[in-house]
Amino acid sequence: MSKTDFHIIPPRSLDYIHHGAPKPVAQMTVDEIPPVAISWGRTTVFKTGSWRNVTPHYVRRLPPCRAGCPVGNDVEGWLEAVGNRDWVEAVRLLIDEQPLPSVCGRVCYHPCETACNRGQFDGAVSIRAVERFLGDRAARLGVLPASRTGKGSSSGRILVVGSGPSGLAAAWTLARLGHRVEVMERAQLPGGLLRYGIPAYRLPRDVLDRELARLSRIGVTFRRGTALLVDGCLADLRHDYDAVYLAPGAAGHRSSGISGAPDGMVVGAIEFLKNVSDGTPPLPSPSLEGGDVSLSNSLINKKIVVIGGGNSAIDAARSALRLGADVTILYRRTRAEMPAYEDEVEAALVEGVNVDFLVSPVRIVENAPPLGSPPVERGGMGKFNLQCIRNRLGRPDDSGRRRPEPVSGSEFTVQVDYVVDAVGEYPDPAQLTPDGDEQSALAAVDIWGRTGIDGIWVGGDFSGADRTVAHAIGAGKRSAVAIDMVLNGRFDPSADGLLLGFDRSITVGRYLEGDLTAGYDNPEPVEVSDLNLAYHSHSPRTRLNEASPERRTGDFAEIAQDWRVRSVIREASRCFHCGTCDSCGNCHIFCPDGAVVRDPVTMELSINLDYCKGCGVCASECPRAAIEMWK
Amino acid sequence: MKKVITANHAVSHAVRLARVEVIAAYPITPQTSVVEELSEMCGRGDLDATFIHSEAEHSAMSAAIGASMTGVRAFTATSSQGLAHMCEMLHWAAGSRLPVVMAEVNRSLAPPWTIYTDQQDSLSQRDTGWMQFYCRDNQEVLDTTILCFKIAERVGLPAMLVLDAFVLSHTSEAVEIPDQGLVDGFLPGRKAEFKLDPHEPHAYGGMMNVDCWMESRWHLQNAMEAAVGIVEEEAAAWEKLVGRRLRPLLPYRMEDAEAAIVCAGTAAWTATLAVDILREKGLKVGSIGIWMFRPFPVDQFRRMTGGLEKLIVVDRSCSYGHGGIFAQEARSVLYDVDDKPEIIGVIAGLGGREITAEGLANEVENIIREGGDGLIRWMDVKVK
Repeated sequence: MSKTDFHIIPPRSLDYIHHGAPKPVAQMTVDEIPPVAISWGRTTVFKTGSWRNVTPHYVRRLPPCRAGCPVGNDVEGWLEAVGNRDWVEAVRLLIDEQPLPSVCGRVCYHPCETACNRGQFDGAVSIRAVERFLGDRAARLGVLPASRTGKGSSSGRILVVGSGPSGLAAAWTLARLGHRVEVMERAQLPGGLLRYGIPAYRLPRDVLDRELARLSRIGVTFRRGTALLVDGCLADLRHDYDAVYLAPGAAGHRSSGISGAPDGMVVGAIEFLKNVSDGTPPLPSPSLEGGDVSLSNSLINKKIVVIGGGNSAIDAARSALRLGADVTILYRRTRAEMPAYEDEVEAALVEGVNVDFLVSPVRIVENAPPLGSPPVERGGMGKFNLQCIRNRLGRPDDSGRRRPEPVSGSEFTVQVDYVVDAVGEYPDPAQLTPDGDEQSALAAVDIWGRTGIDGIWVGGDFSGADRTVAHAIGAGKRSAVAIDMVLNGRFDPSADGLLLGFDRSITVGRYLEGDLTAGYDNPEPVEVSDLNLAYHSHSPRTRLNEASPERRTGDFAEIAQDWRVRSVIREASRCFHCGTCDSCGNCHIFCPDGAVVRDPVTMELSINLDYCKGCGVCASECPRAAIEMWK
Repeated sequence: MKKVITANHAVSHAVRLARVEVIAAYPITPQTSVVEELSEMCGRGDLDATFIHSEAEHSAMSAAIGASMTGVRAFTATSSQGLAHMCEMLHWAAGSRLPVVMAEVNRSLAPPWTIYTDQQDSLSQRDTGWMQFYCRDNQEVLDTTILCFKIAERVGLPAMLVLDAFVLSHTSEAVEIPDQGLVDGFLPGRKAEFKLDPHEPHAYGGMMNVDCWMESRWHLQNAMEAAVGIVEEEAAAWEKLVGRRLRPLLPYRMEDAEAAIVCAGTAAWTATLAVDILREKGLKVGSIGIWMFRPFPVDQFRRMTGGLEKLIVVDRSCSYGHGGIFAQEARSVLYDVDDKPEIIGVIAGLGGREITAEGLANEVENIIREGGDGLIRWMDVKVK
């Protein structure tokens, strides 16, 4: 053979390949037979789609972060926008569902991160920190959420009682839906628990004020320093309002029942925190100590015992620490049963709060001089002896936690100046209405916050089992949408299309667009076993920097430090995007039939059903469970 | 530009210059630094290739085959057990007529475990339909790699360039690295005569019946025969560009030789030193280095050995139960030649045992003075 005219495929057989073989192979010469196994003609004649008995569908599935969020925050949506550096869209998606992003970005117990599938890979996405950044950006830029624009919806006059997170969320939702909303707050400044409960080192007050300004700008009016006074019955409020949303919080104070304590020595945690927040002396009669009045807020040289294991106990203890006190928490069970958030407990311990577990207080014994007496000489601190008893854990109680049982003969005393009682708070209907029937009607609440009194709705800590800011916001949103549906004559208490996730949170954004579904093809949250982790690479979780324990315990400045934009984008880019197609193209690459088609302009993917034989490779190679095989 | 680099990195540079588009590989000593360097090149952006780190060599070859089917230039590298693991897919690459290029670092097959060099691994794959080229130094490694792409794509067969473990793979020498422009001129982008193409979809690799399967193998043998001329043509073209001569057989002091040493790889350089020693002693000995083993350069071999009295074929391999593999080749090629030399097969340097110039000269001198003794001699082996 000549050196130059060598062809891998002889030209004659190449011709047959492209135009079909004109004669049986048996009659071909060797130069007409191709050297490789190659089909005569194109394979497009084989409509392999006819073999299919299951069909792939691109689906939107509920991501676990959103499923876990009691607010119904579209976490995955705004994380994707941040990853794409689309700040406008990220902020829009955030404030479409979240009335208080800068607040939740600081104080939420982040169930989104607990649910995040990345937690089972290399650490959950620091969702709360991204929300904090985005919320602050939204507030600085003065961005407002979309409001109802269409005509034909009726506008009502609505009273919201209480300006804590639940009242604010209801007001925010109702104002966006075109209603006239008044928020009644008995304190001088709105915010409720956010202002008078959560200490400023967790939630700076200027941050709260910026969030409140957004509510004012969308038309919510506040009546400050006005307590709800009901002489007859709550139902009378309906003369002036189309609906009333009651969110007074859990204002009843539960006592640990320490006997023998002189007046003013035992203070409720909520009162203590309120005093710390509004700058009044946190504990009674400090001036009687003979100290300088300007130092009246100081608890230097005071020994404080905090009773309880919830978040109020931790907040009170850390606040007292910042005022100079020597602080010990007494908790009747162990750390494992503590209802306070794990990272708050950890922070308290790091800052120097002492915690004594399996201890219950009993009574003040001996030397119980009246307040104001000169301190007893015993190393400077602790005028009183608080007798305590040690516990051991018995069988679980109704809460599922093991019950503390006193160990007889284990009594001991601790020295103390003040006791902060943080055993708990409870909703007190008597504060709202003197009418006994109405009090019981307020206790019977459905998921929408409807009470037994027509037009009277309740939510937040007053009615909720889970007393968190996020649950309070979620309840406010849900009731507000229900109120709007009632006022427009289309409320169906059994219709749950707009509800999503573990806490049945509601999507206001979809409702505003006139949609009555949450927008997911499959409302089951994506689990980590649904994902194909082979396509995700490890990248460690980043956290917000915090001021050191030594520096931060000297004042009430915020502990968490602002993030740089680069860190925000990096962290947001860690999102798996569970259940959402991000056009990565794995399906296109792996489809053995070339049946996954990518539009060269939009980059969107679709299935050519003529050739999809339903093998499911696309679904199993999808990194984020965004393809399902349907029968 | 001249750089002091190992032969493994000479492969990497040649692959970069060839603008390979897909690299699929699995690490194995002593090959690893070939693809390690390539992955660095990809990471730095010096080479715009998709680098696939496979889970094993069978998959590495499969991925290279798949890539090559789409018409791109594909490369892999392996050694010893890795090559053995690829065996099934070696046949597939050749039967599919795909110009995959592979660097194969000669390492003995276990057990017993060893990582040192001999040619058993590559010669075990003699009949897979791959072209094979054995290199003597780092410069030849670079030149051969570039030539392999050109030749493989013209012939439509995969090509294996073979280099000795450690003696070349991990030893640094000055290597002339040609300019990208020069290589681009010599080796333009691949133009596949057929390929997987969604716009012209055909099925490949399916069943061929008894009425045409055998013809496909006729085509394969035909391509191998054509390759001899194509290799000479391309080697000459390359020589014209860079001034370095490569031919299927590389003779040394053969003009008046009465005996010749035949071998491949670094041992072929050692053989030239042995020749010098023997010439000092007045023995008219030359040597022939085998650069191209498949296709075997039959005519060239016959011409070069015609008239010799003795041909000492040094094998770093053994077809157990018969003898050295190059020795068998020489006997079969020269069988029907009238003035053929006496052929003595020497097994040497298995498992990395060093072949020294003095040792080889001594062995050859003994053979010439005392006569050979049949099919197989073992050099430097501790026998009683």
